[in-house]
Amino acid sequence: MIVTLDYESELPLYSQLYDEIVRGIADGSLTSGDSLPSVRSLAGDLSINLHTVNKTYQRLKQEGYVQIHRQKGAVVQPLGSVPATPEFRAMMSRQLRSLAAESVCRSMEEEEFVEQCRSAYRSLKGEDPS
Amino acid sequence: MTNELAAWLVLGGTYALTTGATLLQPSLAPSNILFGVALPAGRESDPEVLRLKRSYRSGVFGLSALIAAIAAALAVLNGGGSEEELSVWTSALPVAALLLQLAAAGGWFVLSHGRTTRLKEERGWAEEEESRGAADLTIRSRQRLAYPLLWFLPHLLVIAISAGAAALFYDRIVDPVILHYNAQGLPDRIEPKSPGAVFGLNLAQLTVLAAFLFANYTIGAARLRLAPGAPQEHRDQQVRYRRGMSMLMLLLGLGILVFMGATQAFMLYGSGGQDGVWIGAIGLVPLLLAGGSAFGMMRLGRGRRDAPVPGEDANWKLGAFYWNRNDASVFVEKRSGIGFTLNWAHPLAWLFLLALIVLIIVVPRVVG
Repeated sequence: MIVTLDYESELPLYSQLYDEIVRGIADGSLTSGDSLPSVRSLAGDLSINLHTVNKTYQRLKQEGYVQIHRQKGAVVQPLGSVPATPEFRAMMSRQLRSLAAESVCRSMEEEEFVEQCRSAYRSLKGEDPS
Repeated sequence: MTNELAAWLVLGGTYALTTGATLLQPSLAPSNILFGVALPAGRESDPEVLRLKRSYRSGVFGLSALIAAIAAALAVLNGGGSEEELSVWTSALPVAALLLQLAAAGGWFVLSHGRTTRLKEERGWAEEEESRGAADLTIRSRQRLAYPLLWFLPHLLVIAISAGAAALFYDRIVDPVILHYNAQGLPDRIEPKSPGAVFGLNLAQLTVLAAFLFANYTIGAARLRLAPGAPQEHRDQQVRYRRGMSMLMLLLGLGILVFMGATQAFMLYGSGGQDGVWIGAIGLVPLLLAGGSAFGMMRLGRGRRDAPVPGEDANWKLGAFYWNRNDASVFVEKRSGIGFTLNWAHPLAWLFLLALIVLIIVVPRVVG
């Protein structure tokens, strides 16, 4: 599974890496039991700081997406093992409100907004976006 | 074939091989790297870039030819000396010529590195560099980048057979033992028979095996950055390249160990000076192995690209030595040739170097 980072993006590198790995778990590129590279190895491959990778792995662990084993390192957990907690729903609501606000400001129709959301969700599930 | 002719053939062949390798340097490096400087996409065919390559090749060729001509002239002028003087000229002159050629080529490389760096600055090419990075999270867990340790069992078997034969026929080995032949194929180091003298070459075989195991390990462990513009294609290319290099290490290592075993057999069970011609001929074997490996590496490395990050040129000192405290990798792909090198800013790199020095220099002295 290939991850791409933009070194000049406003979004922090650890955040980009986190999003990429979660996307990989969602679309099946990373499956239950897959071992992520060691912190040192991934930091070298992506030319980023060790602490950036470590921070990403710790956040993935806190959210329940991976478990950190002494010998295997970070191991992906089964899909669905992380429930949609009230905290997650609250975060999702905040982010959607921001996106919705920008869409309204840019005169985007509700149908198009909903269609974009549906398409993004379905593409991760491997379903036909239409 | 006379001893002297065989010696000059081997040494001349070595000179030709290293000259060829240094001449081909711009082609051996990744296609988007010129004398250790990263070029943005599409600049590889810039007229000034091509001119720099031509300048390097003609300069190195001219110097190499001059050095060879001087060495040949000196050899001819001193050809009428005593046997001892002849041996010195036969041994020292080609080695001096080789070292001089490597120094000249290295110097021209550094000069070209400086010129390329200035060109990149003048043209503002740093602004065009890729600002993204890509990596494959599962490549090391789902694919083998290098052949595993088990593939080196035949190598261990060769060493076991060589040492086993020496142990089996120990009582029949002539005392004293020939330990080294000069460039003319005549024994020039003879020592009383002892376990150290008899099994010394087997220890050297183990050292060589350790070196190849290390080289194979670096192939799998080296940093694997992917080109963000075409990451899948780059990944597949890297897998082919690294597996090919690993197979080359296996074959080259086996060839060298077999050669060392055969050399040991000549030294221990041969009939002394009369084998000089055979030793001279056998001296061609490592040359052929080296030549074959160089050819194999060139084929493997053809068309490959590096995936540099912005500002990385500054971490490649003189275009050849990688120094980056912020890089967690110990092993990285070379910018000035084929294969992998160390990140000298990493403490482990110096530990590896120390281990190599101990293996190559200290252990043989202790055993001897």
